[in-house]
Amino acid sequence: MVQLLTITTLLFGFLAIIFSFLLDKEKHKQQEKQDVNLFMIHELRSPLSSIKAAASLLLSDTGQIELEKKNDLLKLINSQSLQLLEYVSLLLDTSRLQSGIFNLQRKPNDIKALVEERIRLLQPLAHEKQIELKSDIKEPVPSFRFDKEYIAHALDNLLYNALKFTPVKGHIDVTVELDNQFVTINVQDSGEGLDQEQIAMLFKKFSQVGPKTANSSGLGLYFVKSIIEAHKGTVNVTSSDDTGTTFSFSLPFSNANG
Amino acid sequence: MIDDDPALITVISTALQAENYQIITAADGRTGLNLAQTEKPDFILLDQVLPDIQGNEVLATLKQNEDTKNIPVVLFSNFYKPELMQQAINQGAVDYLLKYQIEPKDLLTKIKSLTQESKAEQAQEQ
Repeated sequence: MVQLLTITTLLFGFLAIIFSFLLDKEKHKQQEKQDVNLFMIHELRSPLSSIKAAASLLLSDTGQIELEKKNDLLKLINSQSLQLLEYVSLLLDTSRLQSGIFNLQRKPNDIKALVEERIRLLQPLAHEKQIELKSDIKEPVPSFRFDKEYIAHALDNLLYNALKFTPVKGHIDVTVELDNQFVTINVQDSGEGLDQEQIAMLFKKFSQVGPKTANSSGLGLYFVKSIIEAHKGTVNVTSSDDTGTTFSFSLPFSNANG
Repeated sequence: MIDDDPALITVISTALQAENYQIITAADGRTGLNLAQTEKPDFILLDQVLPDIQGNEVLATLKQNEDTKNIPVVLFSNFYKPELMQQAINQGAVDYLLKYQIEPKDLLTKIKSLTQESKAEQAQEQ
């Protein structure tokens, strides 16, 4: 009888521990979701506040602001509007991430063509800073299965970051390497290097590292990591003051279904 | 102005410079603390979300330092969290303003009034 009581007590104790663990996990998940939402609201408000303040200042000016400063404010409204569009796009992607559903559409795609397409689209931004942005893909890479929209998004994110952190007249090189099992895309910039502590923080949620002159979202790299890992791939970063920073992601080279 | 948002710094600086204010800016908390000590500004606009340390921590340090404790500080942020706002007021911030709510001209009025009050207090103490 005593033994039965002991076993029952132990069993209930064990179940209580499991239940407590699951409850904590759910609370943590809900807190994470809330944190992401708070952060994104803050990130959206930043460009909106600048746009609103700049427009208000221009409308209320009675001749005290110089013409050159007025033009600066108009340019600011334009650039902050673009930033806002970028954040809204990120917000939509984050909501997909939170739902746990990436719904990858893995089809045979040409990675070389995709890289060249994304570079072409970002050339005007590179041109503004006189940055040389180019791809160097010597060997042809056969088509393989990946979600073109999501990988384009991941690549855009890395290229936008490289453009933000590369100084005027710098360079950004994109290479693609193929070994037996993986295709690796490298985005190397000529900006300031990152130290090991910064590298460790990079892919964590809300982390913002790098030069303080660059205003970057802390969610972008976290999202890149999530996309690549959903493809069963990996991300990597190396950096030094001499060579700048290289972000790489590797995707399984597979034409198998699924 | 301690803020890592270059766009907002441009707008607020333009508004203040048009009223003949001189602006000193810092893009992170530690630089802001150093500048506050060396430049002794008449007023500090302080963001809450900074790359290195939180705005409330910067505020606490300013208020603990003999050289900077009497400089009026207004938290100026898009981060709305009532607990942080209350904490800032308890730590001695003059106000906590939300960037997306306030117009530049109203901010200017507030700054003018606070700097005039501060100068009057300093003159009385002397």
